[in-house]
Formats: sequence, structure tokens, C-alpha cells
Amino acid sequence: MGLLTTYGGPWTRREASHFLRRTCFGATPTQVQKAVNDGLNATVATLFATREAPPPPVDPDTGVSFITGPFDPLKNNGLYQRYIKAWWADLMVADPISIREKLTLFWSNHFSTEMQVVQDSRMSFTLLAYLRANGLKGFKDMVRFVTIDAAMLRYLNGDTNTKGSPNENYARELQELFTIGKGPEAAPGDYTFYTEQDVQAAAKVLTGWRPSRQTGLVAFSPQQHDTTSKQFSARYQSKLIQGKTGPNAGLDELNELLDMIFAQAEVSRFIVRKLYRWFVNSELTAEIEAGVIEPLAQTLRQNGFVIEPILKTLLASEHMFTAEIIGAQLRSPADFIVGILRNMPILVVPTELTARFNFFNTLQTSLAAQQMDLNEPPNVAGWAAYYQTPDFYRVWLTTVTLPTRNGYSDGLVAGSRQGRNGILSTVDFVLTITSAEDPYVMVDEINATFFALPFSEDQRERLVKDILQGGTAPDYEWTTQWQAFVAEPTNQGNRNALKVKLDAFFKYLFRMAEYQLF
Amino acid sequence: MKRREFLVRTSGAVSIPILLNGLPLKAFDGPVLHQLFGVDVPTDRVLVLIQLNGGNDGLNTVIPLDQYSLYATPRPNVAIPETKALKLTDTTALHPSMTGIQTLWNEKKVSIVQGVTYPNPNLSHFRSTDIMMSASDSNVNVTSGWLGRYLNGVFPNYPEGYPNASMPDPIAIQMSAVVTMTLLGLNQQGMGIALQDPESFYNLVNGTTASTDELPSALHARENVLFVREVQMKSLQYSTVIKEAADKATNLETYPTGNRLADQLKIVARLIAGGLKTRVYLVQLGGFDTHSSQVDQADPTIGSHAVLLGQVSSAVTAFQRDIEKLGAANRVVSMTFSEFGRRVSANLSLGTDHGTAAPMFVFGIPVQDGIIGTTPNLRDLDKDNLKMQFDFRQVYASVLEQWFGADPTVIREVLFDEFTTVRVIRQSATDVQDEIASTFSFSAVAPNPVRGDANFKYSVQTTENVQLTVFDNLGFHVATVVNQERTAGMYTVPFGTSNLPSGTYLAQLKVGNERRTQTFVVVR
Repeated sequence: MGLLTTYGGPWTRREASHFLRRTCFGATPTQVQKAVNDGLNATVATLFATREAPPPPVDPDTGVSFITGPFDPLKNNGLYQRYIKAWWADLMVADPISIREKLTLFWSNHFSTEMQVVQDSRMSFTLLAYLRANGLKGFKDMVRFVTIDAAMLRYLNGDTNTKGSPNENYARELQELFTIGKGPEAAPGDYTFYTEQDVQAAAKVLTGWRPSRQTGLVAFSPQQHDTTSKQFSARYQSKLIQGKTGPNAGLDELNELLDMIFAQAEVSRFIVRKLYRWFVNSELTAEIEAGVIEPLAQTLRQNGFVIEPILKTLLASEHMFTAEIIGAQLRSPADFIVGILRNMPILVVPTELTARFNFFNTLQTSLAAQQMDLNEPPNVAGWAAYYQTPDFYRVWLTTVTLPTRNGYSDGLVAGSRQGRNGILSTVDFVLTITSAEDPYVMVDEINATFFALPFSEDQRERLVKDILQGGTAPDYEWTTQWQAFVAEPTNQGNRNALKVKLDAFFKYLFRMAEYQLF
Repeated sequence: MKRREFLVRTSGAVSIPILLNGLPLKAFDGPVLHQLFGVDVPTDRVLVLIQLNGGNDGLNTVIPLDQYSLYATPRPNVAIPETKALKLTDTTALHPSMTGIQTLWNEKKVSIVQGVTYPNPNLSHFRSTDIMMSASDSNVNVTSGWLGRYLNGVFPNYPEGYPNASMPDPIAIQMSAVVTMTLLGLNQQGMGIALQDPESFYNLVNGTTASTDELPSALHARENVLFVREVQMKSLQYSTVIKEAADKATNLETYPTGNRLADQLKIVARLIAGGLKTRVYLVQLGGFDTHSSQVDQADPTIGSHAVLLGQVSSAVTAFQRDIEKLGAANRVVSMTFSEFGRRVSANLSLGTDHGTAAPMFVFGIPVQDGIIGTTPNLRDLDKDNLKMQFDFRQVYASVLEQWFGADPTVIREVLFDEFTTVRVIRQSATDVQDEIASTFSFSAVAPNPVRGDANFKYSVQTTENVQLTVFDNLGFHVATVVNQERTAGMYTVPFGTSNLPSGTYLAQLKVGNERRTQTFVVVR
């Protein structure tokens, strides 16, 4: 059986939760149960269903969108950027079962632009909206769009790339980070798949595109375009792109450039590897290369670089559900924060515009504190967790960010962020569990909702005896206390006694190393 | 992979301090072993590494007055006017916003190494940063850092067995949310910890417990749990000592505000003065990738680069003043680095593109002040790029040799090759050691790690009672090697290790009432 065969093993809450955690930041217990009932195929169909574009962000002061409505230049770089980020955080948390937001985050990381460098919220929104709408479509089309996108032109200095004064910044990253990747340096300036000569030649091909600060739109200026012929290296079969003139020169030459790059098989491998590291695992063994990357890369080349089919195959594969893959990733800040919120059976989010903005702005600030400021990767390579060998996902967790996560989850449980960051009412959560009077049943249910891996027998025992009951009380104490509460749910004293116990218990659980896995 | 396998084996029971005396580590605040030993680290010298991310434009930082027109012509609108530059010598000047550093220069506390890069420079930020941090050749990928490897040699087996008697504090601290490659040790383990704020660190860690629960069976999940527990452990272990050190000292100098470098150095000064034995601090300032608007159109002495250099200058100056007032300046040296310099010619966006050679700065009282090398030769360029005068590893080697007193064989191992050193520190490390310290010295154990005989080398300046004792890593007495009066002179004592189990050991030399310790590792 090949690694990419459609998964046919057990489909219980454990597998369904794993699948939804990896593809849409997780789901509520009800959503997980529905996925179990529906089966894998139907769940995949839901996950990949075509969706309408979400309504654009609005200015909470006016209730009107600054994207489609009036645009206040004074708010452009500060407030509008925060509105966009909070709006995106809102989508991540509130989205139904759909791969869209996790995939949009992938593309925003892949085609990295930092909003604070672009300094134009409209341009950044245009790119983000494009990536959201087209993430499952053609990779080559995406590269074409991004290459002459206003935000990218500003971010990688394409806007100053002109005839006679080429700026190589984008031409380099196009090859090094966006399409073909940098191989070993075979000779000085020769990176196996492309060379310094190719960077220079591509820079000339890309001369002449100018974004307008006034309109946010891009225009091609034939006068600024380098009309000489561009000679590429043997890495691209010594391709010569004839210099062109006139209003279509830029697009014509760009198409030739992309045809040349996408004719190299390495491009398909490069993007498949990156998707694999985002959704599955960081380690690319020879077995994975041969059994996962190569077949998917081949399909991608054959179908004109359309992402959807290969992503479906990958995510629903036998490989995705092997024991080695479950728990192989460490949560990114989004997987951590959005994950907790999406797992909660009941999440109360403010509906009033300003309150809602504040809620998700706070959430986004927490993401930033944990080093995942939305739409602001640290640099053009994106977040290091997805490329830095040998650490990969471990990059997320340091002596600074791990305690910061702990502070965040403590706050959710204790409700110190009430009305802003949502609140996990631990008592209400446990009330959703049938037979919660049995502490072991309760621990197992909490585990199934929040954790990727089951607790070991010893761990269960210790959690119930030492952590929940403080190491002294016999198990029936919990049962008695819980039953007393359920019998008289309005008794505030009983509720408070349970809340103290459960809050401490949940704080402990979210601080466990095991919680960081998914 | 090796390290993680190792941790699988030792996690849980005896892996030292977690369960020392049956107490979770949190209770292990004033290390028992520390009291047992009452030791000092062999050196209290500190290196502060200042990383300028993005590729600092060296030519606008250190301006070649002797070739002014060759410098200014290819940089219309970007070159610093001759009259505005801050003159250091007849040939060399600083960017006008670096007044603080000019003052330090006048006080003989600045060394500038000109034309630093490496053969076959790489113009990618990521690759060149990796090269600068790992100290590899241009075409070799190395996944550990130069300081990480050096510190790993000094503190073998880290993190296993740390903190311990001779090193109760973090070995290195990076003032950011992450530890970068510079500090990665031989097994890619971070030899340092990330830290942003001592108080919040302490408060957030409070509530975590060190777990010894059994591990998941799947390989990656197991490795992940081990890794997270390792980070938890480090946080637990160090949050208290860091807070204590920070609480002990108060900044005596006012730092500039709105300056991210100053914010970091301000904490570093407190930690150093508060008594942390941390050897290396890494601070960073980003934004040097000045492809466009490096200077203001109307005035090249202002603009984004001027702001950045002004921040570096005022932050470094405040830090230097602070540690001087705090009485720590004799044991602190700072050094800048950036992934590359920038091209000689400006581009059409009032900026400069990725280039190659650039100057490095070394600051501090112990620094041999002056300029090493010459102003870059602007008549002899390589495709508009400056040629190399010094390999950056020559500067690293010099710091290791002259500041940390590292042995030439160690330096060769750390830097993968031999590099001619240049004089960046005023005296040799041994001289200063004697000057600072006292009447005796105790050299690093050689060889280290050791299979057969280890050699303990020490010297006394007057007749003294000398006691040389070996302990294992838990503080148990292993052997008394010397216990007698010695006349002035240098001594080498062999010590057979063939009957000792492999592990980390501590050799403690006690002369009069003073003690010093060296760590060594026995391998079987």
C-alpha cells in the first residue's frame, strides 16, 4: 500500500480531531463528532468546498469597509493594518470546517510580505484577498499575480527596478524562495537550480512595473523596461528571452520567464515539500521523497500546477494518519491560540463592532507576542519554523515564547481576559461531558478535545489523583462533589468550589509539554 | 538525533537536578552544589555581540576620507558630505550621527576592523547570516554557531547536568524571543536562552512544573515532548537566578528611549552587574537592509540609516557608561557584526544594494583601540564590491584568543581552520587574568575530553597552600590530587582517569582561601 493511498483505517474522534487540527486549526467536540459520522471523504469534501469571499474588514468607527468604501489616508498605515489583522484572526476562529484560513496563512507565509514594510493597507489587503481566493488553484498563476502585485513590488523593491538600474531583490527571491529553491552551491554563484546570472537576467525581465501610491494599482511603464535580450544560464537550458518593447513587453517577458522556470521539475518538488512541511511533518526522509513528494510533484506538473487535487491526496492519505505523524508537529502560535478557541464547545464573541475588533485585536497581539504577527513574517523567507533545519517547529518554543503561551492559556482559563480574549469556563465545559462524575471519563474527554495524543495510564492516574484532587482525596470525593453540583446547579457555592479546582486543573493541562504537540 | 536519543536514555530518574534531594527543580533555588563548592567560574569575562540585521552599509558608517571623490561619485545623494563626517583620523571618519562612538574613540575604547567579509561572498541575507553566525566557509552549510561551539567546549555536554556548581547561570543570553544560530552548540542545542524581560519571565514561568511523565512512543512525538520539557526546564532553572541578578543591580546611566538596542543593553548591564556568570550576550537591531530611502533626498546625513546608526551609537555609549559606573567595564567587550556590507554605487532609490566587505567595531576599556587595516581601496573593486581585507573569522579568532584566552587548538576546532589573529584586545588574556585576579592561575584541563591522563596546570606567585580536588557532577568527592605547600612557579600535575566512569567532572584548585574550578569530561 502506497503512502498516498486514501486512508482506510479507523475513523474515530482521535483521527477526525487530528485531521481537523492539521487542516483548520481544530474543531468543537460537536464538529468532530459530525466529521466522525460523515466519514473521511465527506469531511474532505466539506473542507475543500468552494466558498464565497468573506465580506471585507470594516472600520469599527464607521461600520463601513475601507476597502470598498471611503478610504482615510490618515488611517492607512496604522489602524487599517490592525483592522485587517483582527479581521483575519476573526476569520480563523469563526470559520466553519474549511481549509481556507490555514491555507491562506500558508500562502501569506510563502509569498511573504510584511505589512509594516509595504506600508499600504489596501495593497496588503489585495494580496491577502487574492491568496485567500486562489489558494487551491494554479500555483503558476499565483506566482504571476504576486510578481506584479503592488504589495510585493513595494516589499521587494520591484517598484525601483528599472532599465539601467536593476534591483535584483525580487528576481532573487522569486527563484530562491518562491518557485525553485536554492540548491547546494555547485560553483561560486551557481545554486544548482539557478545562478547569479539568472538573478540578474530575471531582474531585467521584471523592470518597469510601478505601483501607484494614490490608487494602489500597478501599471507597466515601457520607458522603464529594459529592452535588451536576457541570457539565462545552462541551469535554464541557456534560455534567451528576447527583449521586447511596447505596452505588452512586461507581461510577455514575464510569461516567458515563468514558462522557463516552471519547465523545471524542481519547482513542483519545491512547493510540494513546502506544503508537506506546513501540513504534515518537517522531516523529509528518502522514503517520503520517493513515496510522497515525487508522486505529488509529478501530478502537479501533469495537471498544470493546480494545488487542490494534490493537497486532497496528501491530507487524506494513509501517511497522514500514521502514528509517526500524529504529534509530529509543534503548534505554531496560531495553532495554539486559534486551536484552543476553536476547540471550545461554546465561545462567546462580542458582536458589537468595536468590541469585536478589540477582542480579535487582543488575540492578534497575543499571536504577535508569540512571534506570529499575522501578515508580518520576520522576513521574506517567512517564519523560520517552516524552513530552518534542523529545528523547524521547535523554533516557535523558547524560554520566552513558552512562558508567554503559558500566560495566555492561564488567562483564558482564569478569565482575566474576559470580554476581550474569550474565556474558557471550565465548569461549563465539563458540563458538556456525559458521566463527568467519573474523573477518568472527564480526563479522557478533555484529552480527546484538546490533545493530539492520549494520556498514558500513569498520566491519567496522576492527573486525577495528584493534580485534580491534590494528591490526598480519594476518587469518590470528585464524584460526590460533582453530583452535588449537578443536583443543584444554581448553588453558587458548589459551583465556585468546582471552578477553583477545575481552573487550576486546566491551567496545568495547557502547560503540559504534551499540549504543544499536534 | 544523537542528542535526543541521549536524552531519551537519561530523562526521568538520575538526570541530575530535576529530582535532586527529591525536590522539583523549582525548589532548587540556591544550588546545594554551589554552597558545597563556593566556586567561581574561571573567567568572569563577558562578550556582548551586537548583530545589525539586514546588511549595514559600511561605507556610510566608516567613511574613507582619503578617497573621498571615489566614494562620493558613485553615490550621488547618498554619500555623506565630507564636512559633516566625524573625523577620527586623517583618512577615516564616522557617520555624523555616531557622536557617542566618536567620544568613545577619543577615550581609546574603540577598535575598527576594516574590510571584513569572507572569500566568495554570498549576497543572500539568509545564507550570509548563516555563514557569519556559523563561521563556515561560503560553500559549506554548518548548523551550529561559532560561539555555541566554543561555549560547548567550555561547558561540555550542555544541557545535561546544567545548571551546576561551576555554572549556575545561563551560559549565554540572547535578548530576543528566539536563540539564533550563533549560540547553537555542537548538537544544535541552544547554548544560551532567550530572554526579553527578567520580571515577566519569572512571573510567567511560575506555575510550570518539571514533568517526568513517560514519553509517547512515536518517534517525533517523543522528541517533541522531550524538547518542550527541555525548554520548560531551562525556564524553570534560570528564571530565579536571572531575576535575582536583575534585582541586585540598578542602571546608573540614563538610556535613550525609543531605541530597541538600548532597551536590550539596559537589561544586559543589569544582569552583568548583578553577578550573572553568563559569558555571552547577543543583542540585535534590524532595519539595515536599506535598498531604498537610506537617506533623505534633501539631506544625506538624515534618513533611515542615520536613525539606525544614531541608535547604535547612543545605545552603545549609554551601555559603556553604565557598566563603567557599575564597576564592570574591565570585564566587558562588545562587538558588532552584520551579514554583509553594501555596494559602492548607490541605486536610484536613494539606497544601496547587497554588497560584501564592511567594518566591524569592537568596544570597551580592554580593547586595543585604533583601526586595523586601511580604508577600503575604491580603485580595486570586484564588480562594484569591496574586496576583503580580513576574514571575519580572523576577528572571531582574535576575540577567542585575546578575550577568552582560548587555546589555539580550540580556536582551530571552533572555526574549522587556522586564522591569523589581529590585535583587538589590549593585553593577552593571561595578563589581564593575573591583573584582575590574584596570586594564582588555573588553566583549562588538557586534553578535554580526556580518555587517559588529564593534565592540571596551575601557577602560584608566592609560596601557598595548594589543594587540588576532583569532584563528580553531583558534587561527590572523587580524588584529592594535590594537598601541600608549593613555592612560586608553574606546575603540571597528571591525573589518571582510566578508572572513572564517563561524565563531567570538576577540578577545584584552592589556594589560600580562594578557589577556582575547571570542568572536564571523561569519555570511555
